[in-house]
Amino acid sequence: MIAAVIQFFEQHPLLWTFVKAVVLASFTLMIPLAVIWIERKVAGFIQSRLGPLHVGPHGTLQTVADALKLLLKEDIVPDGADKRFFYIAPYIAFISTVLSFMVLPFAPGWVALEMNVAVLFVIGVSLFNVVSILMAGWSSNNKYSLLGGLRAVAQLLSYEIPMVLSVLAVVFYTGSLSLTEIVEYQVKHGWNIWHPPIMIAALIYFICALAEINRTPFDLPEAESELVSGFNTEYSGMRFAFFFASEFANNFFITAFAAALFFGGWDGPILPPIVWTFLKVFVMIFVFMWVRWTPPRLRIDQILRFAWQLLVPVSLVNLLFAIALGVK
Amino acid sequence: MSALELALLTALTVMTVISALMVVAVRNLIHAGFWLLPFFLGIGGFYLILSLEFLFALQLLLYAGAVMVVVLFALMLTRDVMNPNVRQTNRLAIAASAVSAGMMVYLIGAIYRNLGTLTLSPQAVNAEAITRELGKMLLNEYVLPFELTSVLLLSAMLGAIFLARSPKVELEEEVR
Repeated sequence: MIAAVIQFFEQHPLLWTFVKAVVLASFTLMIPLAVIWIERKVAGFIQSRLGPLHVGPHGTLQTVADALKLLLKEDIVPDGADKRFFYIAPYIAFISTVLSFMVLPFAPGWVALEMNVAVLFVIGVSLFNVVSILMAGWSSNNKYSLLGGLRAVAQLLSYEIPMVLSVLAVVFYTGSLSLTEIVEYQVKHGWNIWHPPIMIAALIYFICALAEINRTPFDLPEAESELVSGFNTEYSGMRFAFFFASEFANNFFITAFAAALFFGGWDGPILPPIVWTFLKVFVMIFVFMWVRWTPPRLRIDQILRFAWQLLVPVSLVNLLFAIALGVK
Repeated sequence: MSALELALLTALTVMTVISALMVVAVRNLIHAGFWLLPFFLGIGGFYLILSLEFLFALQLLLYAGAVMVVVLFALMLTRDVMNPNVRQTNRLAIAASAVSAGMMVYLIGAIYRNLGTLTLSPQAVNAEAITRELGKMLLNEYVLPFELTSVLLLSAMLGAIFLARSPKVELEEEVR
Protein backbone atom coordinates (compact mmCIF):
# COMPACT_ATOMS: atom_id res chain seq x y z
CA MET A 1 0.00 0.00 0.00
CA ILE A 2 2.60 2.52 1.16
CA ALA A 3 5.02 1.31 -1.51
CA ALA A 4 2.34 1.90 -4.15
CA VAL A 5 1.77 5.44 -2.91
CA ILE A 6 5.51 6.17 -2.92
CA GLN A 7 5.79 4.79 -6.42
CA PHE A 8 2.85 6.87 -7.63
CA PHE A 9 4.42 10.07 -6.33
CA GLU A 10 7.82 9.16 -7.74
CA GLN A 11 6.21 9.00 -11.15
CA HIS A 12 4.48 12.36 -10.64
CA PRO A 13 7.05 14.68 -9.03
CA LEU A 14 4.94 17.76 -9.75
CA LEU A 15 2.01 16.31 -7.82
CA TRP A 16 4.37 15.41 -4.97
CA THR A 17 5.62 19.01 -4.86
CA PHE A 18 2.02 20.19 -4.71
CA VAL A 19 1.23 17.82 -1.82
CA LYS A 20 4.29 19.06 0.07
CA ALA A 21 3.28 22.68 -0.47
CA VAL A 22 -0.25 22.04 0.81
CA VAL A 23 0.98 20.13 3.86
CA LEU A 24 3.48 22.87 4.67
CA ALA A 25 0.95 25.68 4.30
CA SER A 26 -1.58 23.86 6.49
CA PHE A 27 1.13 23.15 9.06
CA THR A 28 2.00 26.84 9.11
CA LEU A 29 -1.68 27.63 9.71
CA MET A 30 -2.09 24.98 12.42
CA ILE A 31 1.02 25.71 14.45
CA PRO A 32 -0.24 29.13 15.65
CA LEU A 33 -3.31 27.46 17.14
CA ALA A 34 -1.09 25.43 19.46
CA VAL A 35 1.41 28.23 20.11
CA ILE A 36 -1.27 30.79 20.96
CA TRP A 37 -2.93 28.38 23.39
CA ILE A 38 0.41 27.71 25.08
CA GLU A 39 1.14 31.43 25.15
CA ARG A 40 -2.12 32.20 26.91
CA LYS A 41 -1.62 29.37 29.40
CA VAL A 42 1.97 30.46 30.14
CA ALA A 43 0.87 34.08 30.48
CA GLY A 44 -1.81 32.97 32.89
CA PHE A 45 0.68 30.92 34.89
CA ILE A 46 3.15 33.82 35.14
CA GLN A 47 0.45 36.31 36.10
CA SER A 48 -1.17 33.93 38.61
CA ARG A 49 -4.37 33.32 36.69
CA LEU A 50 -5.82 30.39 34.79
CA GLY A 51 -5.89 31.41 31.14
CA PRO A 52 -8.42 29.85 28.72
CA LEU A 53 -10.37 27.12 30.48
CA HIS A 54 -13.87 26.60 29.17
CA VAL A 55 -13.72 25.56 25.50
CA GLY A 56 -12.50 21.97 25.41
CA PRO A 57 -10.31 20.33 28.07
CA HIS A 58 -8.18 23.09 29.69
CA GLY A 59 -9.33 25.48 26.98
CA THR A 60 -7.41 23.66 24.22
CA LEU A 61 -10.14 24.40 21.69
CA GLN A 62 -10.26 28.10 22.54
CA THR A 63 -7.86 29.13 19.77
CA VAL A 64 -9.69 26.92 17.27
CA ALA A 65 -12.90 28.76 18.14
CA ASP A 66 -11.08 32.10 17.91
CA ALA A 67 -9.68 31.22 14.49
CA LEU A 68 -13.12 30.19 13.21
CA LYS A 69 -14.57 33.43 14.50
CA LEU A 70 -11.87 35.47 12.76
CA LEU A 71 -12.43 33.66 9.48
CA LEU A 72 -16.18 34.29 9.58
CA LYS A 73 -16.03 37.92 10.68
CA GLU A 74 -16.68 40.79 8.30
CA ASP A 75 -13.56 42.02 6.57
CA ILE A 76 -13.54 45.78 7.09
CA VAL A 77 -11.45 47.94 4.77
CA PRO A 78 -11.01 51.62 5.73
CA ASP A 79 -12.28 54.16 3.21
CA GLY A 80 -8.97 55.94 2.79
CA ALA A 81 -6.95 52.74 2.54
CA ASP A 82 -4.71 51.99 -0.39
CA LYS A 83 -6.95 49.04 -1.30
CA ARG A 84 -4.78 46.78 -3.43
CA PHE A 85 -1.79 46.87 -1.09
CA PHE A 86 -4.05 46.67 1.94
CA TYR A 87 -5.46 43.41 0.55
CA ILE A 88 -2.22 41.63 -0.23
CA ALA A 89 -0.01 42.67 2.73
CA PRO A 90 -1.17 39.89 5.13
CA TYR A 91 -0.66 37.24 2.48
CA ILE A 92 2.89 38.39 1.80
CA ALA A 93 3.58 38.03 5.52
CA PHE A 94 2.11 34.54 5.52
CA ILE A 95 3.90 33.45 2.34
CA SER A 96 7.22 34.58 3.77
CA THR A 97 6.62 32.35 6.78
CA VAL A 98 5.61 29.34 4.68
CA LEU A 99 8.69 29.84 2.50
CA SER A 100 10.99 29.74 5.49
CA PHE A 101 9.39 26.48 6.69
CA MET A 102 10.12 25.07 3.24
CA VAL A 103 13.85 24.54 3.91
CA LEU A 104 13.57 23.55 7.57
CA PRO A 105 14.70 19.97 8.35
CA PHE A 106 12.35 18.44 10.96
CA ALA A 107 14.03 15.02 10.98
CA PRO A 108 16.43 13.15 8.67
CA GLY A 109 14.86 13.44 5.22
CA TRP A 110 11.90 15.45 6.49
CA VAL A 111 12.56 18.62 4.58
CA ALA A 112 10.29 19.95 1.84
CA LEU A 113 13.10 21.38 -0.27
CA GLU A 114 16.73 20.44 0.17
CA MET A 115 18.57 23.67 -0.61
CA ASN A 116 22.31 24.08 -0.30
CA VAL A 117 21.97 27.77 0.58
CA ALA A 118 19.07 27.29 3.02
CA VAL A 119 20.50 29.64 5.67
CA LEU A 120 20.77 32.58 3.27
CA PHE A 121 17.35 31.75 1.83
CA VAL A 122 15.73 31.85 5.27
CA ILE A 123 17.26 35.23 6.09
CA GLY A 124 16.19 36.52 2.67
CA VAL A 125 12.54 35.52 2.92
CA SER A 126 12.29 36.72 6.51
CA LEU A 127 12.81 40.21 5.11
CA PHE A 128 9.55 39.91 3.13
CA ASN A 129 7.90 40.05 6.49
CA VAL A 130 9.36 43.53 6.93
CA VAL A 131 8.06 44.53 3.50
CA SER A 132 4.57 43.31 4.37
CA ILE A 133 4.60 45.24 7.67
CA LEU A 134 5.63 48.38 5.83
CA MET A 135 2.96 47.73 3.20
CA ALA A 136 0.25 47.21 5.82
CA GLY A 137 1.31 50.23 7.86
CA TRP A 138 1.37 52.48 4.85
CA SER A 139 -1.77 51.33 3.07
CA SER A 140 -3.96 51.48 6.20
CA ASN A 141 -3.88 55.29 5.99
CA ASN A 142 -3.75 55.57 9.76
CA LYS A 143 -1.07 57.42 11.69
CA TYR A 144 -0.68 54.70 14.31
CA SER A 145 -0.32 52.04 11.66
CA LEU A 146 2.27 54.05 9.77
CA LEU A 147 4.24 54.81 12.93
CA GLY A 148 4.11 51.15 13.89
CA GLY A 149 5.26 50.16 10.41
CA LEU A 150 8.19 52.58 10.40
CA ARG A 151 9.26 51.54 13.89
CA ALA A 152 9.04 47.92 12.87
CA VAL A 153 11.30 48.46 9.89
CA ALA A 154 13.90 50.43 11.85
CA GLN A 155 13.95 47.79 14.54
CA LEU A 156 13.86 44.69 12.34
CA LEU A 157 16.61 45.95 10.03
CA SER A 158 18.83 46.94 12.96
CA TYR A 159 18.50 43.51 14.57
CA GLU A 160 18.78 41.65 11.29
CA ILE A 161 22.48 42.58 11.10
CA PRO A 162 23.72 41.08 14.41
CA MET A 163 21.42 38.14 13.77
CA VAL A 164 22.94 37.42 10.38
CA LEU A 165 26.44 37.85 11.83
CA SER A 166 25.73 35.33 14.60
CA VAL A 167 24.20 32.88 12.11
CA LEU A 168 27.29 33.33 9.91
CA ALA A 169 29.46 32.33 12.89
CA VAL A 170 27.70 28.94 12.82
CA VAL A 171 28.08 28.77 9.04
CA PHE A 172 31.85 29.32 9.28
CA TYR A 173 32.13 26.85 12.12
CA THR A 174 30.38 24.02 10.32
CA GLY A 175 31.47 25.04 6.83
CA SER A 176 28.02 24.72 5.24
CA LEU A 177 25.06 26.89 4.26
CA SER A 178 22.67 23.94 4.18
CA LEU A 179 20.58 23.44 7.31
CA THR A 180 20.55 19.67 6.89
CA GLU A 181 24.33 19.56 6.66
CA ILE A 182 24.67 21.82 9.69
CA VAL A 183 22.51 19.44 11.73
CA GLU A 184 24.34 16.37 10.40
CA TYR A 185 27.65 17.96 11.38
CA GLN A 186 26.34 18.38 14.91
CA VAL A 187 25.10 14.78 15.05
CA LYS A 188 28.69 13.73 14.34
CA HIS A 189 30.68 16.32 16.28
CA GLY A 190 28.38 17.34 19.12
CA TRP A 191 26.12 20.36 19.39
CA ASN A 192 27.44 23.73 18.28
CA ILE A 193 26.29 25.41 21.46
CA TRP A 194 29.18 23.89 23.48
CA HIS A 195 31.78 25.92 21.57
CA PRO A 196 32.48 29.34 23.17
CA PRO A 197 32.12 31.59 20.05
CA ILE A 198 28.88 29.82 19.13
CA MET A 199 27.64 30.22 22.68
CA ILE A 200 27.96 34.00 22.33
CA ALA A 201 26.43 33.80 18.86
CA ALA A 202 23.47 31.89 20.30
CA LEU A 203 22.98 34.55 22.97
CA ILE A 204 23.01 37.31 20.33
CA TYR A 205 20.67 35.26 18.17
CA PHE A 206 18.30 34.87 21.10
CA ILE A 207 18.17 38.65 21.72
CA CYS A 208 17.71 39.37 18.02
CA ALA A 209 15.05 36.68 17.69
CA LEU A 210 13.05 38.41 20.42
CA ALA A 211 13.30 41.62 18.42
CA GLU A 212 12.51 39.89 15.10
CA ILE A 213 9.22 38.46 16.29
CA ASN A 214 8.26 41.70 18.09
CA ARG A 215 8.28 40.32 21.60
CA THR A 216 8.52 42.41 24.75
CA PRO A 217 10.92 44.07 25.58
CA PHE A 218 11.13 44.72 21.82
CA ASP A 219 7.42 44.90 20.98
CA LEU A 220 7.60 48.55 19.87
CA PRO A 221 6.06 47.92 16.42
CA GLU A 222 2.78 46.87 17.98
CA ALA A 223 2.90 48.44 21.42
CA GLU A 224 -0.78 48.18 22.34
CA SER A 225 -0.71 50.97 24.86
CA GLU A 226 1.02 53.48 22.56
CA LEU A 227 0.08 52.57 19.02
CA VAL A 228 -3.19 50.62 19.40
CA SER A 229 -1.30 47.56 18.13
CA GLY A 230 0.58 49.33 15.35
CA PHE A 231 0.64 48.21 11.75
CA ASN A 232 -2.35 45.87 12.03
CA THR A 233 -4.74 48.32 13.71
CA GLU A 234 -7.02 48.58 10.69
CA TYR A 235 -7.10 44.90 9.90
CA SER A 236 -10.02 42.70 10.83
CA GLY A 237 -11.37 39.25 10.16
CA MET A 238 -9.39 36.89 7.98
CA ARG A 239 -6.64 39.32 7.01
CA PHE A 240 -5.90 40.02 10.65
CA ALA A 241 -5.92 36.26 11.25
CA PHE A 242 -3.24 35.84 8.60
CA PHE A 243 -1.00 38.47 10.20
CA PHE A 244 -1.51 36.85 13.56
CA ALA A 245 -0.91 33.34 12.23
CA SER A 246 2.27 34.36 10.46
CA GLU A 247 3.59 36.06 13.59
CA PHE A 248 3.09 32.98 15.74
CA ALA A 249 4.29 30.61 13.04
CA ASN A 250 7.39 32.81 12.80
CA ASN A 251 7.78 32.39 16.52
CA PHE A 252 7.85 28.62 15.96
CA PHE A 253 10.16 28.91 13.00
CA ILE A 254 12.73 31.16 14.63
CA THR A 255 13.14 28.67 17.47
CA ALA A 256 13.27 25.71 15.09
CA PHE A 257 15.98 27.56 13.13
CA ALA A 258 17.88 28.10 16.39
CA ALA A 259 17.47 24.40 17.25
CA ALA A 260 18.99 23.44 13.90
CA LEU A 261 21.83 25.96 14.16
CA PHE A 262 22.84 25.63 17.81
CA PHE A 263 21.14 22.66 19.48
CA GLY A 264 21.68 19.85 17.03
CA GLY A 265 18.26 19.94 15.35
CA TRP A 266 16.76 16.45 15.54
CA ASP A 267 19.76 15.01 17.46
CA GLY A 268 18.98 13.31 20.77
CA PRO A 269 18.92 9.89 22.48
CA ILE A 270 16.09 7.29 22.68
CA LEU A 271 13.16 9.37 21.37
CA PRO A 272 12.59 9.57 17.59
CA PRO A 273 14.21 12.60 15.83
CA ILE A 274 10.95 14.43 15.08
CA VAL A 275 10.03 14.40 18.79
CA TRP A 276 13.41 15.90 19.66
CA THR A 277 12.91 18.72 17.17
CA PHE A 278 9.53 19.59 18.62
CA LEU A 279 10.78 19.20 22.20
CA LYS A 280 13.61 21.66 21.63
CA VAL A 281 11.34 24.08 19.80
CA PHE A 282 8.70 24.11 22.51
CA VAL A 283 11.22 24.50 25.33
CA MET A 284 12.62 27.55 23.51
CA ILE A 285 9.15 28.90 22.81
CA PHE A 286 8.47 28.62 26.54
CA VAL A 287 11.61 30.67 27.28
CA PHE A 288 10.48 33.29 24.76
CA MET A 289 7.09 33.53 26.47
CA TRP A 290 8.72 33.73 29.87
CA VAL A 291 10.71 36.75 28.66
CA ARG A 292 7.65 38.28 27.04
CA TRP A 293 5.57 38.30 30.20
CA THR A 294 8.32 39.47 32.54
CA PRO A 295 10.27 42.65 31.58
CA PRO A 296 8.62 45.92 30.50
CA ARG A 297 8.91 47.55 27.07
CA LEU A 298 11.92 49.70 26.13
CA ARG A 299 11.98 52.98 24.21
CA ILE A 300 12.69 52.93 20.47
CA ASP A 301 15.95 54.91 20.77
CA GLN A 302 17.19 52.62 23.54
CA ILE A 303 16.42 49.60 21.39
CA LEU A 304 18.21 50.97 18.34
CA ARG A 305 21.22 52.15 20.34
CA PHE A 306 21.52 48.72 21.94
CA ALA A 307 21.53 47.05 18.52
CA TRP A 308 24.05 49.33 16.82
CA GLN A 309 26.39 50.20 19.65
CA LEU A 310 26.55 46.88 21.44
CA LEU A 311 25.21 43.93 19.46
CA VAL A 312 26.75 44.76 16.07
CA PRO A 313 30.36 45.24 17.34
CA VAL A 314 30.16 42.25 19.66
CA SER A 315 28.80 39.97 16.98
CA LEU A 316 31.45 41.19 14.50
CA VAL A 317 34.30 40.41 16.90
CA ASN A 318 32.64 37.12 17.74
CA LEU A 319 32.40 36.26 14.04
CA LEU A 320 36.17 36.81 13.71
CA PHE A 321 36.76 34.42 16.63
CA ALA A 322 34.43 31.86 15.11
CA ILE A 323 36.28 32.06 11.79
CA ALA A 324 39.67 31.78 13.51
CA LEU A 325 38.62 28.78 15.60
CA GLY A 326 36.27 27.08 13.20
CA VAL A 327 37.72 27.05 9.69
CA LYS A 328 39.93 24.02 9.11
CA MET B 1 14.01 22.50 -22.03
CA SER B 2 10.57 21.05 -21.35
CA ALA B 3 7.25 22.75 -22.10
CA LEU B 4 6.66 23.37 -18.42
CA GLU B 5 10.04 25.05 -17.97
CA LEU B 6 9.40 27.17 -21.03
CA ALA B 7 6.00 28.22 -19.70
CA LEU B 8 7.54 29.10 -16.33
CA LEU B 9 10.31 31.07 -17.96
CA THR B 10 7.81 32.99 -20.10
CA ALA B 11 5.62 33.78 -17.09
CA LEU B 12 8.68 34.91 -15.15
CA THR B 13 9.85 37.13 -17.98
CA VAL B 14 6.42 38.72 -18.38
CA MET B 15 6.19 39.34 -14.63
CA THR B 16 9.65 40.86 -14.46
CA VAL B 17 9.17 43.14 -17.46
CA ILE B 18 5.72 44.30 -16.38
CA SER B 19 6.82 45.09 -12.84
CA ALA B 20 9.93 46.88 -14.13
CA LEU B 21 7.70 49.02 -16.34
CA MET B 22 5.34 49.66 -13.45
CA VAL B 23 8.21 50.86 -11.26
CA VAL B 24 8.97 53.70 -13.66
CA ALA B 25 5.43 54.32 -14.93
CA VAL B 26 3.33 54.44 -11.74
CA ARG B 27 2.67 57.98 -10.53
CA ASN B 28 2.44 57.12 -6.85
CA LEU B 29 6.03 56.76 -5.66
CA ILE B 30 5.19 54.32 -2.87
CA HIS B 31 3.44 52.05 -5.36
CA ALA B 32 6.51 52.25 -7.56
CA GLY B 33 8.57 51.15 -4.56
CA PHE B 34 6.33 48.16 -3.90
CA TRP B 35 6.47 47.15 -7.57
CA LEU B 36 10.21 46.63 -7.06
CA LEU B 37 9.39 43.48 -5.09
CA PRO B 38 8.03 41.34 -7.98
CA PHE B 39 10.82 42.73 -10.16
CA PHE B 40 13.59 41.63 -7.80
CA LEU B 41 11.87 38.28 -7.29
CA GLY B 42 11.66 37.81 -11.04
CA ILE B 43 15.41 38.38 -11.41
CA GLY B 44 15.93 35.89 -8.58
CA GLY B 45 13.74 33.44 -10.46
CA PHE B 46 16.06 33.61 -13.47
CA TYR B 47 19.01 32.70 -11.25
CA LEU B 48 17.01 29.78 -9.88
CA ILE B 49 16.15 28.50 -13.37
CA LEU B 50 19.87 28.59 -14.16
CA SER B 51 20.41 26.63 -10.88
CA LEU B 52 22.52 29.44 -9.44
CA GLU B 53 21.02 28.93 -5.98
CA PHE B 54 23.65 31.01 -4.24
CA LEU B 55 22.98 34.05 -6.42
CA PHE B 56 19.25 33.47 -5.96
CA ALA B 57 19.60 33.56 -2.17
CA LEU B 58 21.77 36.68 -2.36
CA GLN B 59 19.22 38.31 -4.66
CA LEU B 60 16.48 37.58 -2.10
CA LEU B 61 18.59 38.76 0.81
CA LEU B 62 20.12 41.90 -0.66
CA TYR B 63 17.67 43.15 -3.27
CA ALA B 64 14.21 41.76 -2.51
CA GLY B 65 14.92 42.20 1.20
CA ALA B 66 17.36 44.88 2.24
CA VAL B 67 17.46 47.24 -0.77
CA MET B 68 13.70 47.06 -1.15
CA VAL B 69 13.07 48.00 2.49
CA VAL B 70 15.64 50.78 2.50
CA VAL B 71 14.14 52.26 -0.67
CA LEU B 72 10.65 52.15 0.82
CA PHE B 73 11.87 53.62 4.09
CA ALA B 74 13.53 56.50 2.25
CA LEU B 75 10.39 57.04 0.17
CA MET B 76 8.21 57.26 3.25
CA LEU B 77 10.40 60.04 4.61
CA THR B 78 10.19 61.93 1.31
CA ARG B 79 7.98 64.97 1.01
CA ASP B 80 5.12 64.92 -1.54
CA VAL B 81 5.41 61.19 -1.99
CA MET B 82 1.70 60.60 -2.65
CA ASN B 83 1.23 63.63 -4.91
CA PRO B 84 0.42 62.42 -8.45
CA ASN B 85 1.26 65.82 -9.96
CA VAL B 86 4.97 65.71 -9.19
CA ARG B 87 7.07 65.53 -12.33
CA GLN B 88 8.46 62.07 -12.95
CA THR B 89 11.69 63.27 -14.53
CA ASN B 90 14.39 65.74 -13.55
CA ARG B 91 16.85 67.79 -15.60
CA LEU B 92 19.08 64.75 -16.24
CA ALA B 93 16.28 62.96 -18.10
CA ILE B 94 17.71 63.38 -21.61
CA ALA B 95 21.26 62.41 -20.68
CA ALA B 96 20.02 59.45 -18.66
CA SER B 97 17.81 58.12 -21.45
CA ALA B 98 20.69 58.47 -23.94
CA VAL B 99 22.98 56.46 -21.67
CA SER B 100 20.40 53.74 -21.04
CA ALA B 101 19.50 53.52 -24.74
CA GLY B 102 23.18 53.10 -25.56
CA MET B 103 23.52 50.43 -22.88
CA MET B 104 20.50 48.59 -24.24
CA VAL B 105 21.80 48.64 -27.80
CA TYR B 106 25.17 47.35 -26.60
CA LEU B 107 23.59 44.51 -24.59
CA ILE B 108 21.24 43.47 -27.39
CA GLY B 109 24.20 43.48 -29.76
CA ALA B 110 26.27 41.35 -27.39
CA ILE B 111 23.45 38.84 -26.95
CA TYR B 112 22.75 38.75 -30.69
CA ARG B 113 26.40 38.07 -31.57
CA ASN B 114 26.56 35.15 -29.10
CA LEU B 115 23.12 33.78 -29.90
CA GLY B 116 24.55 30.56 -31.32
CA THR B 117 26.63 29.69 -28.27
CA LEU B 118 24.02 30.46 -25.60
CA THR B 119 22.25 27.53 -23.97
CA LEU B 120 19.52 27.56 -21.39
CA SER B 121 19.84 24.05 -20.05
CA PRO B 122 20.32 23.93 -16.28
CA GLN B 123 22.46 20.81 -16.57
CA ALA B 124 25.16 22.77 -18.34
CA VAL B 125 25.86 24.79 -15.20
CA ASN B 126 27.82 23.47 -12.23
CA ALA B 127 26.47 25.94 -9.71
CA GLU B 128 28.76 25.03 -6.83
CA ALA B 129 31.89 25.33 -8.92
CA ILE B 130 30.71 28.70 -10.21
CA THR B 131 30.11 29.97 -6.69
CA ARG B 132 33.53 28.77 -5.58
CA GLU B 133 35.15 30.42 -8.59
CA LEU B 134 33.23 33.62 -7.83
CA GLY B 135 34.56 33.68 -4.27
CA LYS B 136 38.13 33.03 -5.40
CA MET B 137 37.99 35.69 -8.08
CA LEU B 138 36.58 38.29 -5.68
CA LEU B 139 39.51 37.73 -3.31
CA ASN B 140 42.25 37.38 -5.92
CA GLU B 141 41.94 39.11 -9.28
CA TYR B 142 39.16 41.49 -8.34
CA VAL B 143 40.15 42.22 -4.76
CA LEU B 144 40.89 45.88 -5.49
CA PRO B 145 37.50 46.79 -7.03
CA PHE B 146 35.84 44.67 -4.34
CA GLU B 147 37.52 46.61 -1.55
CA LEU B 148 36.98 49.94 -3.32
CA THR B 149 33.26 49.18 -3.43
CA SER B 150 33.21 48.79 0.33
CA VAL B 151 35.06 52.10 0.74
CA LEU B 152 32.50 53.71 -1.57
CA LEU B 153 29.61 52.29 0.46
CA LEU B 154 31.24 53.39 3.70
CA SER B 155 31.73 56.94 2.46
CA ALA B 156 28.13 57.02 1.21
CA MET B 157 26.98 55.94 4.66
CA LEU B 158 29.12 58.53 6.42
CA GLY B 159 27.88 61.20 4.02
CA ALA B 160 24.27 60.26 4.70
CA ILE B 161 24.81 60.38 8.46
CA PHE B 162 26.54 63.76 8.18
CA LEU B 163 23.77 65.24 6.02
CA ALA B 164 21.08 63.87 8.30
CA ARG B 165 22.45 65.13 11.59
CA SER B 166 24.35 68.39 11.05
CA PRO B 167 21.62 71.00 11.74
CA LYS B 168 19.89 69.05 14.51
CA VAL B 169 22.58 68.57 17.16
CA GLU B 170 20.94 70.88 19.70
CA LEU B 171 17.60 69.10 19.38
CA GLU B 172 19.06 65.82 20.49
CA GLU B 173 20.49 67.37 23.63
CA GLU B 174 17.11 68.88 24.37
CA VAL B 175 15.48 65.46 24.26
CA ARG B 176 17.89 64.14 26.85
